[in-house]
Formats: sequence, C-alpha cells, structure tokens
Amino acid sequence: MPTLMINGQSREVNAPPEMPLLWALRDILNMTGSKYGCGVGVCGACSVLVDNQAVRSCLAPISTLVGKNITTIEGLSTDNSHPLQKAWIELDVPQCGYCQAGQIMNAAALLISIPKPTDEDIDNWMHDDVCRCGTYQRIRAAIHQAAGG
Amino acid sequence: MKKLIKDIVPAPTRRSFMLGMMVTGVGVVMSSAYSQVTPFEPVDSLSNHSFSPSTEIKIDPDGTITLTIAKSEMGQGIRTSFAMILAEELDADWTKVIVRHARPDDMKANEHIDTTGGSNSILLKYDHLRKVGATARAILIAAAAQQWNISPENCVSKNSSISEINGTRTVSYGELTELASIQGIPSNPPLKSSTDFSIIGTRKAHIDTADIVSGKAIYGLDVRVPNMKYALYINPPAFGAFIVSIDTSQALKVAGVLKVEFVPDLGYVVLAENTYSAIKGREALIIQWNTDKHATLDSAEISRQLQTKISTLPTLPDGTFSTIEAQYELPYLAHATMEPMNCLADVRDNRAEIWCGTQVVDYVRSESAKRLGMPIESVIVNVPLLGGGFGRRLYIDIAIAAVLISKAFKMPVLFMLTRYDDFRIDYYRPASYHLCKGGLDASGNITDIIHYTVNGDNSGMPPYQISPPTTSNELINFPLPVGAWRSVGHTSSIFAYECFIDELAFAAKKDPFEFRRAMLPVDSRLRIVLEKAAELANWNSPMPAGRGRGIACYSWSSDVAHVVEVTVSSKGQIKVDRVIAVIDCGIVINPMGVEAQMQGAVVDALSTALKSEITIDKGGIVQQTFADFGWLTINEMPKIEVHIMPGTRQPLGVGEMGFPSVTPALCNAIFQATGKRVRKLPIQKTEISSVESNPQTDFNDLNINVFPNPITTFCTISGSVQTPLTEVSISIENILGSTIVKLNSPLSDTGQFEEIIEFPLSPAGVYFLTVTCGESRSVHSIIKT
Ligand code: FES
Ligand code: FES
Repeated sequence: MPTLMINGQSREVNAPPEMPLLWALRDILNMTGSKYGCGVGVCGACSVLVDNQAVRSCLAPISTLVGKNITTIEGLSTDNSHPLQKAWIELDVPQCGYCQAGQIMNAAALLISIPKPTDEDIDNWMHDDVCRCGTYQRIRAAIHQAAGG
Repeated sequence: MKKLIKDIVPAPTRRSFMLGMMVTGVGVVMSSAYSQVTPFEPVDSLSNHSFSPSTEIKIDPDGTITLTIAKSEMGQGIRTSFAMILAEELDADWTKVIVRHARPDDMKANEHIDTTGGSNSILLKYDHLRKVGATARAILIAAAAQQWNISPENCVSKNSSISEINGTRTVSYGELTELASIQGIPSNPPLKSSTDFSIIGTRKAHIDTADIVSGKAIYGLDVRVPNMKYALYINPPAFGAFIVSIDTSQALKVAGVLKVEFVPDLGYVVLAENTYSAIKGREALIIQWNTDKHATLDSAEISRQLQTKISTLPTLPDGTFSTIEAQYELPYLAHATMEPMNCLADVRDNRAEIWCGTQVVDYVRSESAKRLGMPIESVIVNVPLLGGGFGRRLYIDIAIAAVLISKAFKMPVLFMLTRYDDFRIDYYRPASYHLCKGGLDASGNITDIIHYTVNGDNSGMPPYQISPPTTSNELINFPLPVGAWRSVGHTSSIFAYECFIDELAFAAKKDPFEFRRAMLPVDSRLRIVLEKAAELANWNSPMPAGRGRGIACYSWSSDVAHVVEVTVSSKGQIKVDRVIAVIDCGIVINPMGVEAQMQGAVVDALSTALKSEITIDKGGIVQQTFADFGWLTINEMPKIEVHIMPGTRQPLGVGEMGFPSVTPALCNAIFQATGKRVRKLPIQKTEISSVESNPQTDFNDLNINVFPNPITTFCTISGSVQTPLTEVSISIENILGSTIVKLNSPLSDTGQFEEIIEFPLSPAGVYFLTVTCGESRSVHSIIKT
C-alpha cells in the first residue's frame, strides 16, 4: 500500500501501485479537485505538481511518486491566497471551470520555473492545456497579473 | 428561441433505448411536485426569523441573503446574472449574497425548473426576477415603516438596509426579517429606474469562481456517496455493431472489477470499485463484434451523398445581369464537453436519487420515474455544476443509462463516459452541404438568392432588405444521431450565407462592409453594430500583402458583427491575428460575463472553422481525444476585442450569439489575403492550408512586394526566394478568374526578381497576383483604382 506525500500530508493509498495518481486522488482519497479530461495526457485537466514540476496525474502511476511532494489544487493554498488564485478570481477566468484546476497547476509550475513569463513563454508552456470554453485570453492575462505585471 | 433547438432535433424514431439516441427534453411537459434535498448541499437550518417571500429569496437575521436559482450553470454565468437581477431590485448588499441551485422541493405548486438552453434564460426571466426582488424590497420597507410608525414613502432602501428620509434612523434587512414575515405581499411593487441600477451593468465575477479555483466546486463526476461503484459501457466500435461473442474471464480477474454484465435495454457494462479498475477491466474484455451493418460508411461516402442529393438549382429570371454559384460543406462536430458525460444514480426499491449535470432537470426526473415505474415524487434529481454543456446536456441518454445500471446492480453507481466514449456517444452537429445561387443586376444589387441545403439550415439570416431567399432543406438520414450544438443550425446557415454575401459583394465589385451596410435598414441595431465593428477595425486601412480582413454579421435575439484579421503565409499557414466582436444584447446584466461568452464563442468558432471535425471510417467515429478532434490552444489565440454596445432594449440572449458570424468573417478574411475562397470546413483540411501538412514538399519562402497598391496604371512587383531555380512565374487574374498578365521573371544570383507591370486598360477592382516558384506559391490581392 503506497504512502504518498500530498499537500504536506502523508496519505496511505489503498490502491494497486500502477494506478495513476488521478484515480487514486479522485476515487480512493475523494480529492476531486484534479479533473479527468482525457486520461491520455493530451488535455492537462488533471495536472498536479510533483516536486514543483507539472505532472499529468492521469499518466503517473502512484508507485513512481513515493517519496515525492505532490501538490494538488486543494493544496495550492488554504484560502485562495496564491497569486494565481487571486488573479483568477479578479479577472474571472473560469467559464464552466472544469479545466481550470489543471490550468492553474500548470501556470503554478510555469511561475516556479519562469517567475516573469513573456507571452511566448506562456504559449510554450501552456499550449497543450485545453479549455473547451475558450478562456485562454483571460488565462494569459491572469498569469501576467499573478507574475506581478 | 426554442426554434434554435427544435430545428434539427430529430423526431424520435424508436421507442427502445440506445445511448446517444434519446429524444431531447425540450418541450416536455414539466412536473411540479418535488421532494428531498442534495446531500452535498445540506438543508439550510430554517431559522424561525428568516424572511422568505418567494422561492428565490431568503434573508437570515445575520443579513445573509440566499438566492435560489432554477437554472443549470455550465459556464454561461447564469447563476451570477440571475442573482444580480434579484439583488438589484432587492437593493441587496452583494457581498452578503449566497447562491444555491434550486432543488425540486424548493419549487411551489405552479413552479418548475425550466430547461436551460436556447440562450433565453435572461430574456424570459428578467421581468419576473425584477418583480420578485422588488416585492421583497417593498415588504422590507413596509416592515421598517411599521417599526418606526412612519409612512413607507419616507423610507429608502440601499445596500441591505433601510433608512428614514429626512431622519437618522437606519435598520438592516437582517434586523427586519421577523417583522417582514408578517407583512402582506404587495401586488405591484415599484421597479427601479434603470438609471438607478447599481448592480446590473457592473462587472461581477462568477459566484462560483472562488470554489472553482480552490478545487472545491462539485461537478457531476465529483459527487461521492457512500458505497458507490463506477461503471463503464461497452461501446460499439461502429454504428449498428453488435456483439457476436464476449469473453469476460480476463476482465473479471482485474483487481477492483466487480461485474461485467448485460444491463437490459442498454448493453454490457463493467462495474468496478473505481474508475481505473473499470477502464482496465473493459480493456481486458475479449469481444468479437459484427460491424457489417455500416461497414462501408465513411466520411467520403457521407460527403458524396450530401453533395449529390440536389442535382440542380432553379434558374434565375431572364435579365439577371450576372449569376454567382457556390457550394459550402461543414463536417460533423462533437460537443466534447470538457467534463465527459456522466450521471450518478442510486435506485432503491421504492425511491431513486440522481445526481446529474443536466440542462433538463425535470425531464431527467420524469423520464427516470417512467423507466422505473415509480411515481415522480419518488425520484430526486440533484444538479451539480456542469463542466460545459453546448447543448449536449439537453439529452438524457446518460442519465437514463445510469438509472438502468443502478437498478440492475442495486447499488449507487457513477456511470461515466471516458473521453474516447464521449466522442462516440453524442448527438452530433450534423455535417451539411449548402448550394447557393445569387443574381445581380447591372448596378451590382442582389436580385435573387437561392439557398438550398442538405442536412443543413437556412434560417437566422441578417435582415438584409432584399427579396427573401428561396430556400429548401433536404434530409439524408445517416446512422449518426444529430442534435442541438451551440448556436445550432446557425453554425452552418450563417457560414454559408455570409460567405456567399461576400462572394456576391466581390462579383458586384463592392466593398463587403459597404455592400452589407447598404442592405441593412437604416438605424437598425444590426447596421449600427456592423458599422461599429468596421470602425473598430479601421476597415478602410490597407492591409499588407499576405494579410486580410473579413467581416460578417448575425442577428438572432442580439445583434452581432465580427471582423477577423488573418495572415496567410506563402505555405498556406493561417494565423488569426485579431478578432473584433461587437454585440448589442440590450440592457447588459454583467459585462464581464457577456465579454467571457463572446470570447469563448470566438474560440469555439475558430476551433471548428480551422481544425475540429468528427469523421467516420468503417461506420465508426475516428476521433478519440482533443488531439485528433482539434481544438484551439493558447498559442493559437488571436487578440479578441469585445465591444458591448450600450443597450436599452430588454436584455437579450448572448451564449450562442457570439458564434455564427465568426466563421464567415474568418473565411472572408482568408479570401482577402489569398484570393481563395474557403468553402469547406475545417480549413486546415482545405487546399489553402493543405501544403502545410505535406512534409514531402520543401518550401522556400517567397517574399513578395507590390508597390504601389492600390495602383492606378502600373505597379512594381519584386521579391526574393531561396531556390536553385532560375525564374519565377507571375500571373494576375481578375475576380472572374481570367488571366490578364502572365510572364516569367528571371532570378538574380541572390534570388531577387523585379517586374514593372502595366495594365492601364483593365477596369478598377480587385485582382489577384500569384507568384510561383517550383512548388512554392504566394497569392496577393491588388486593388486597381
Ligand atoms: S486527463 Fe490527464 S491530460 Fe487529460
Ligand atoms: S472553463 Fe470550461 S473548459 Fe475551461
């Protein structure tokens, strides 16, 4: 039974080691903030941080994550105080909102890696995160705002 | 607005149940008796002192105002807009407002939960919601007046409190709840003047945004109840396929798989402890399918049938100066909601509870009750957030499947479609074919338009002052179920019509904006909106070679116009640079929400114009993920500029109105840039961009300059190209395709060429310059004045 470090807490996961993190989060731990959009790594809705890197949780077997720090949308902050969450609220980025946890987690990894991203950096980093509702223009503006300008 | 939906919803052809084959809930008689509550939204502890004069409004002694909204939220912002209208007339403190989804048991005997669709929620409910808010406010004022023993005329409300005019006393709504509860209900409370609005018309973030960005928002797939199981359907690989043999032994060995069984009226289902086990279990099944029924059906065959259904169009009257014909074709589209379709059902012996992100709450309930043979009161439907709708959640096939599965296994079951399934089980936007013929008189005015379609639509046209088009709609039934998809038939009708209007404008040698403008009634809202779009685009400013600007408009409920600017590279690669979207939707409730819908509609329209399609091979759907369906991503985004006209009309629809005119504006822009008409979607499959996808061809960039442009008698065409070849060929055609110049130009050692070309005798108008070098080609428009 793998033990994972999720949002700073040690969690025993009663699941086979090959189970992708997404399903362990959603169906075993009842943490439903990370979303299922495709299951094959092409939409980004399931993105989480693993040791501060963006990872598609639908593709990451839990056995590969033991001993690593996993951050999900629920753990980004306890009170929506992360600069991205603040910017997302201020600019009202979400429409249906279903893709947004993934968008925010990918943007969080971007800001860790490039604190002041240019438009091109955003294009390169976020170009495989699908938003069916088409909120891209506000996503871009909110990333810039969260980056402080 | 109902028409938008009804147009292409097929008549029910069979009574037996098949996924993706259910009939829409639109138009179904709604039931009004309800019971029960949602487990994830606990019952409010009804304080004795809370004041609730209507289903929609409850005010607690601590000042909290709970607004109950009977509309499904799928990203269109309806919960926020409805709350804003109520709060406005109530004079509520917006920071004290909480919004919840209506539960069936909230509804009174004469109330029901309406269908959410057709972009008509605000249109139909604006007056009602204002009255509800104003009634509550009038009661609170009466209560304050009674408390102070003064006339209500001497009281004024603001920001959840009432103060005495010419006095110092103030009382909050929370403090008045008890006294308000014993007041009579006024029949005609005064409504605010729009000049006094302080909430309507302001920018408000969606009330769900904070929960969405913290991961707390609950969508259908997120609902969890004790002992629930997870189910997947065994999906036929093709329409009409059936199982010849099935070996479940390996699947049943997969950890977490509970059962693989045939569910009556549905098909085989894998039941598991979690989604992953269900997926793995399904993969381990060994199934032999018979796919003979539609084995030869593919997209080419569908296209062939669409194209050959109508052989000739009527002839135009004698004396028509010129006749233009064009055919347009659109592919099938899936809804592809970001949250795949799902429903959780818990069917017990004499009651059932359902959690379903649906646009038709009442229909899910009544149809489930019917299937289960239960009285409607025994069925509870809870509505979480919808991860996108676009029309897909008007259909109840998935809800009914969940009910049947839970009934069969006697457990609470979350039935879901994987993304792969979601592309296969849908009511697609139909593929369609449009034949257009138009006549012009000698002055370039439209005399006639004929617009025939096969599986298309020819309604919703801009109100041009021309004789009404002659229309006809032919229908071919293919095995793919079709249904309402955002903007419904107008995704096809406006594409064809507004592209064709552009073709007529060119044939008439008229500017496409002026051509449209002249046909719109003076002072009509659409004409004003179109003018605004042209003004914002600086319409008459010249575009550099390789770039183009296109315009189109649309009027349905709201009035909308779009200008799209594109760059087309010499390799045919299309980049959308800028989209100007102008809308007049009457009084604007939430500009932030209107802007979001207009932006989203542009992405929707550009994605489906450029990339997305559902194709068929051997009778089955080809697409499996967003990667092969094709969807715009952030790096492909143009700059979208939304302009909302100040409106005085009653608030109109927005959700679907921002889509239809984007597609033709884009295609018209491509024509301006290249001289080539796009008549088949998606564009990335057409000739203009096909060179891009051919990896064999090694293209060298042709850089072309035309100076001056516009020209009077002659121009210099120069350029450079990296090539081992020694010459380029230059040709100039007029808009009717006749070649007026053709020559070869030698290349210098460094790949430069230059030619001075005179064509003094040719008439003024648009000409197309094509420079070809080997397999590289570059097309530019030249304007002769
Ligand atoms: S669900 Fe993981 S990338 Fe789509
Ligand atoms: S907000 Fe709906 S998919 Fe992105």
